[in-house]
Parts: sequence; C-alpha cells; structure tokens
Amino acid sequence: MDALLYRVYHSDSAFDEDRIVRLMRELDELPESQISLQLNTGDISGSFQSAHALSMGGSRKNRSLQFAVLAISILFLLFGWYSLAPPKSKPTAQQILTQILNTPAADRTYDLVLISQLPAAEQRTIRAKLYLNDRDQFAVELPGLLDLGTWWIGGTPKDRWVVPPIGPAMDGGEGVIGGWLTKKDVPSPYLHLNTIATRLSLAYDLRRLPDEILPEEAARPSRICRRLLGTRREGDSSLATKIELWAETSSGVVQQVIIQWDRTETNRGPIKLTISLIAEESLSSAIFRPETHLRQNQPVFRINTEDELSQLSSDF
Amino acid sequence: MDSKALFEILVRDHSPMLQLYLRAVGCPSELLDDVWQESLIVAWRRLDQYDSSRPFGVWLRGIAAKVLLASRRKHRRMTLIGDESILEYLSQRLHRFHTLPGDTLDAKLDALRDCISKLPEHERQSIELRYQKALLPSAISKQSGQDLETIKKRLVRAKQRLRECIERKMQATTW
Repeated sequence: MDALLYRVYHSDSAFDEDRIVRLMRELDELPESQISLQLNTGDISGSFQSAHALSMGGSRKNRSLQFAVLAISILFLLFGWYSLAPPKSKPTAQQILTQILNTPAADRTYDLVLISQLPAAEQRTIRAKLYLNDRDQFAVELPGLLDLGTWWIGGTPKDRWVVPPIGPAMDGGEGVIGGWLTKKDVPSPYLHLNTIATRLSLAYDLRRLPDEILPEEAARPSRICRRLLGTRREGDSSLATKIELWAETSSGVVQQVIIQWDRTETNRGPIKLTISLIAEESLSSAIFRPETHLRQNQPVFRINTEDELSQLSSDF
Repeated sequence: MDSKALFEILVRDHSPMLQLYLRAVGCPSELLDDVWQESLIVAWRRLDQYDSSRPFGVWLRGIAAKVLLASRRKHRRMTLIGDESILEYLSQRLHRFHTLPGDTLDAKLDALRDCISKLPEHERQSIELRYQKALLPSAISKQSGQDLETIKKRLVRAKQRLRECIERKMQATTW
C-alpha cells in the first residue's frame, strides 16, 4: 500500500522516459549473446510455423524475427498490461492491440462477407456465419463455395477441419489444409480473429484512427469503438494489404474487421473480407466439431501432407 | 519491428509496476534505478528462459527479486521486507492489481485515488501529508499539534480502509 500511495502522488513520466532511453542505449552496447531461442509454436498460428519455428543460431535477422514471435506470444498470454504513457493519455495502437489480444475469449457470432476476384475479371461475393467460442475454436458455414453447396470449415489457430458438400471431410494442420483452402480463395488464416490480431502485431505498421460509434443494429446497441489500421510492411506479398479493426472501447471485444488485398483483374483471390459481430450468445459446442456437419457415411481423413490432400481433394 | 523495439514495448508496459514493486519490497531509493536497470538487462539476456505460460510481469519481478537479494549481499544495510517467499507473495499481490480497470498503471491508480477521496477528512489529510508531502509521522504530529500515537493509528486505519476499498474494487471488476 505504501508503494501504491507513493505512486499516486509521485508519477514522473519524464524521468521514467529518460530511464528507458538510457536502458535501451545500454542494451545496444551489449555484445550479441549466443541465445538459443526455441519457441513454443503452439502459441502461434500454424501458418507462421514454417517461417518461425526454428531453433536458431547466430543470424541477427532470424533472431529478430523469432523474438518478434516470442514477444507477441508473451503479449498474447498477458493478463494485464501497463504503459509508460503520461497519466490520462490515450492508448497507442500497440496498447489497443494488446488489449484486444487479452480480451477473454467467449461465444460470439459474426457475419462474414467475402468478395473474391475470379478469372475473366469477374467477382464473387459469399456471405457466411463465423462462430467463435471460449476455447479459441472457430467454425464457418460457407454456402456456395466453388458452386458445390455448403461447406463447413473450423479449427483453432493450429488446426483445421473441412467438411465439404461432396467427398470426404478432412482434418489436419493449418499449414496444410489452410494452404489448400487459400488456393481455393478461402483466406483460411483470417478466419480466426486472434490470428488476425497476431498478424497485425508481427507484419503490419499500426496506426490508431479516430474512435468511431458503430450504429445500432437489430440485436446490437450502438457502441463506441477504437479503430486500428494496419498497413502491410514490404516483404510478404502473400499477406493482406490492409487490415482495419474496430474494438469496443470498454470491453476490447472486436466488433468489426475489414481485410483488403490489392489485386489486379487477372490476379485471382480474395479482395475484401468483412467480419461483423452480430451476437454474443451461448453457442452449442457441437458447432465446433466436424462430425456434427458430416453427411451420412461421409468419412473423415486425417491429413498430414500436401500429397495426401491432393489425392483426397481431386474432386475440387 | 526488431527484437529490441519489441522489448522496449514490454519495458514500457511493465516498468511502472516494476518500480512500484521495488519500492514495495524495500529497495532503497538510491539503489532503485540501478536495480531496475539491472533487472531489465538480466530479463533481456534471459528471455529465452521465459516460460510463456506465466505472466511476463510476474517473471520480471522474479528476476528483480533475485537481483535485489544479490544486492543485499553487497549493501549490508539494505533492509528488504522479507525473504524470497515474501517477495514472491508481494509480486502475486501486485499481479492482482492488474484486474482493476484502466489501460495504464496510472489509470488503474484512479481506483486508489477514488478510495482516497472517500476517506474521512482527517485520514485523507494524514495520507496526503505522509505520501504527497513525504512527512514522517513525527513531523505530521508536530505540524498538526496532535499526539504522535494518534497520527500513527490514523495512518494505519486509513491504509486499512484503502486496502479494503481496493479489494472490493478488484473483486467487482469484470472485463
């Protein structure tokens, strides 16, 4: 209590800032240490694993990249966070993102609208429902994908399952199945909201936009939201170009995300993905299990490699 | 964003609570800066040993506790609040402080400011004289003309009320 009372009356942010600047200068002068950094890749999306899940040696660029993933995983797991911002100052974009990552997972339903560029300069719009639960699982009901009927896709940051309208269902890692889905114009990594937030931290320049009030809708009152805009840094053209995110100020719950890719008319793939919160009601756990959506006698195959996937998915 | 830039974000996020912890466990003011810096340098060097299942702030304060205990061997007149288990206990208590609303430590301290404002007038004045003006109880007694024992009891009662008020707010917090 004494220490808290001292801080109430003696907050010197200028002195604190000076101390941090001196510390960072001191770290710059430290010799490069031979740190063996082994990441817990269970904390990050499978789509990052091939790039980041390394036990590293002396490469400065690799060490920086892997530390970036570790640091974001640390932020992901933090229960709370602090800032050295002056008292009463507005949170920065990074602080808002940390707040979002720390928001407890819960059952939520989102509307999903996916616009894709097709060959011959055509576009296709698919509307879907995205379901999330408090165990970090998601499930998407996608009608009309590939004009074959309704698909169900689900999983966690690391795993994916797919129940197509024809052929066998598949269950495997995000890296394999997610990659296959991406080739079918389904931006698989972007179906998991925390993966979006993690990507924003890792590969995007963040900017805070003015707060906005999202208007009242059928089941949702109007709510004040903080807004973030992430612009992709140069280097990885496979990522979406821009991600704009709205999070409710008081709760940190993501209300809306708009993800955009720059494409030419001949470059097939997603152009725009809009995800909008419509309900925060309890959901049946059955939605998140692939067996719930199987047709009668539809088999489920565990997929470990792209070759296995190619053999099974030759119908698509 | 390189690794040092990310570490700087973590430093900025956790530095206020680290300073608060060092004061709470009895780190002398003249050593606080050095212990703070050394704790963070050790944290930077040992980041590969960080167990990401634990909150970063708790891990960082664990390092600071070890740095403090090592410093005590050099500065024999340093009096810490207790041994390693007490330092750990205090770190966990501070971690509960996280649950209060607010984006920054100062915003979370608004809860304590609110509690202070609800104190009886004479207790609030004593708290301000003790912590804002940094007067010892003897100086407060001399200034107010009141008995030293009365001042001490008043400060104890005031801090007890503040503790209970903060506990109620921490229990009431939902996110």
